[in-house]
Amino acid sequence: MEYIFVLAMVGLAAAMVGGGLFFSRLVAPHNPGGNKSVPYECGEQPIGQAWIQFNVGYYLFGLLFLVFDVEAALMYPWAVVFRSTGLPGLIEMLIFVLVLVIGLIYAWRKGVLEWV
Amino acid sequence: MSIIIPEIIVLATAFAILIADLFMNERTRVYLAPAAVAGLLLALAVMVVHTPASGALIGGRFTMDAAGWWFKILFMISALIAVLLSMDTLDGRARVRVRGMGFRGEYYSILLFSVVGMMFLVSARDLATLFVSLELATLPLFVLAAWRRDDPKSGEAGLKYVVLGALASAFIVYGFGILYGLTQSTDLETIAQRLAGERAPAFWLAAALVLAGAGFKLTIVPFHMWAADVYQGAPTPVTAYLSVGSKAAGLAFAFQVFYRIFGDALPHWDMLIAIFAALTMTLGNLVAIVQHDIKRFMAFSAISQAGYFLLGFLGAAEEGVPAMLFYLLVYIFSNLAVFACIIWFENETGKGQIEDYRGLSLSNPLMALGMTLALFSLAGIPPLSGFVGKFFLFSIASKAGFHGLVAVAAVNSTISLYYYLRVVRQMYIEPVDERVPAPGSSVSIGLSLALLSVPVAILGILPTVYEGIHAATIAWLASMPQG
Amino acid sequence: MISSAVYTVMFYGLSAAVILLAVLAVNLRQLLRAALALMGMLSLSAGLYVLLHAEFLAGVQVLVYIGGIVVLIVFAIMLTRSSELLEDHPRPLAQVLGALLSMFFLFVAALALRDTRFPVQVQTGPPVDDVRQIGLLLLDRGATGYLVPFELLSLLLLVAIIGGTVIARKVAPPKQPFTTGGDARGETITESARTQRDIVPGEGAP
Repeated sequence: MEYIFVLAMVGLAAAMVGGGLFFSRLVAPHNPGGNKSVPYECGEQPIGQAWIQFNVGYYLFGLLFLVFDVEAALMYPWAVVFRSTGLPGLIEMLIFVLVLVIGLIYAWRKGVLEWV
Repeated sequence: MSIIIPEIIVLATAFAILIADLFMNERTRVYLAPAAVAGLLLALAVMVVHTPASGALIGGRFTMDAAGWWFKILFMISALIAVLLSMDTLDGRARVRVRGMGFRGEYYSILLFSVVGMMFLVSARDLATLFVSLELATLPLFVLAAWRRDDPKSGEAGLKYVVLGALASAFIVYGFGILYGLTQSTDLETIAQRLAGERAPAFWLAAALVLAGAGFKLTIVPFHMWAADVYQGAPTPVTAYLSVGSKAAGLAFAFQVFYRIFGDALPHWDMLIAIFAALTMTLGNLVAIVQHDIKRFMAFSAISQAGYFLLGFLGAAEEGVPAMLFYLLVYIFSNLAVFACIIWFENETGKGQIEDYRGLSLSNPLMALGMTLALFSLAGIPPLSGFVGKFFLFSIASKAGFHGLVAVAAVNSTISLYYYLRVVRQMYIEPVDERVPAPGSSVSIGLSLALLSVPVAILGILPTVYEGIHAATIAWLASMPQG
Repeated sequence: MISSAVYTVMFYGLSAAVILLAVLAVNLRQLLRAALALMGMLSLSAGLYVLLHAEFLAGVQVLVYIGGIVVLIVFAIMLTRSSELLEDHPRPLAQVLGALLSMFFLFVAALALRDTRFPVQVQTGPPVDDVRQIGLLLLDRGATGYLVPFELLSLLLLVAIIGGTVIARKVAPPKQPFTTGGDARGETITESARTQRDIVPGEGAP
């Protein structure tokens, strides 16, 4: 099967990461605690906790990304058959994209794309 | 081509509102609601005047038939009234304003998108369209339920609705997947043909899953638990639309699935449907008795009404479907009329307990009269349309031999009269202990209440509407493959 | 070529891993770890799709679910104040009932699916070039095409954009939230009524 290389690749990657972790654990000294568990802040004393609340803007960006992600996934099969479906297929795809472009314009005008 | 024009009009209105909203300021946005009303009216007019009652487009993937025509009319009427009822709240004309209810353009446009989804739902003839349009019909409802962003209850309503709605969708998709596996087709007609005859065990699993999903949308009793919190937490105009729109969509989905896919298996499920109907009516009613919040009260009332709808699935399609459609029509008018009063009252006083309605007959007799009429219709008091609708449904159950169920339904109807009368008693009989400031009036709500009260009063007396629905059902059945 | 025994072993191995990760995603108390388990579960499902010759689906799975939805879930977790779930103690009765119900459903579903002969099984050989077929079906306007759900999907995505924006966007409260039409009297009534309304019952008399 053609995926044997993918499988081998996955196995190799897992072995490299897992092996690295395993050997460092095996070889390196291990005494946690104290200043070691403090988040790294370029040598400064960290203020507050490592867990910070994200700006909601990230979420909206993620949402927009997801929507256009789905769109891209659906455009891929169209691109494969573009030659045989011709103009009607192009129009159908344009309608699909146009609706989402309206969504993008909407998000843009509403300031979702502005970074605060 | 003309059968899709109403959908296109509604869709175009939704886009026009969405885009226009981007370039308007708060002051000019009051024109958005009239635009939505105009679009819906135009689509309704085209539907009534121009659209043939049957036809097929896109290779039969978008199909119109007589029963679907009635469903679409009902969807558009619900949305039209819902827009009229939302106007005051959203435009800030209410005396007590609901905070956090901005975003008018988005509100009306996604409400219209939900209508488009419902309209495609009844026109769908394959599993994929059926599912995507059901999602398109319900996703806006999730958003609308959470519309009040500074009200945790509204957020909770939206969250509960979206989680349980997703669960219902998961059930439906699982069931659809099995159906596809069994028949290798997504076409409803082909599925029904290939399923006929011997039934594999997986068929029953698929049927149970799809029915559970439909039960969620219709608030049938083991799947009803989202309704009360969502109805209570959602902004009141949204609750009004939810109570009729989501129910109509759920019924349309059940209609599509029951009659188009499971058609000849339906008689085997009589007993099950009867049990669900009895449970739904009884539980909804019993819990409604003890409610104080009027929206929660209406939620349980809506649950018990869903039980009556189920009676229509018991008999033969040529009687069951018209009875269901007619009762849906009556239910939509009556329920929206009640909500018109609730929204108006909340706008004027900011209160929503049943006890707050005390003395309404003195301070605003017309509103009190409209609400009383609608509540009596929901309870099924004889001259009103609700009585006739229930009568048809009961007679179907009785003809199918479910006399015990008819008795349960009749008892439930009596119980429901008791709790609907609780509201009426507050408005008319309870002594007024403090001087209630006279609430003002509202053009859009008064207009919609007047528009709704007329059919509530006369639909039961005028036989033409029921006859029209009956004739449509016969035409639809004749157009079905092999009956 | 992989023999069918290896294929079977891989299928069941992947399935077991998917189930294990799904259970972890539900049960881990640390939300980010649960999200990570979810991501692993979704990637392994993509592996299952590849085994079943649904390469396009596997690609979509990686692109949309792992690249999009898990990222969104992580953002949503980061929006909250704490990374750990609050302790939740469902009543023992509810726990037992829930467990029984789930077991019952699993049992019935497994039995029903085991005893059914799906016609799809009879079909031999993998479908050829499925992306091409999907593309043709999506854009086909004929009786076997899926043009309607395809176009409806764009509307669904649009509603998702609008809904997400409305619910999640952080807006400063506008100076004039609603059009008043210059109705000054209404404004004053609103203020008094609003303060009345804001009094929570049980917090003292107005």
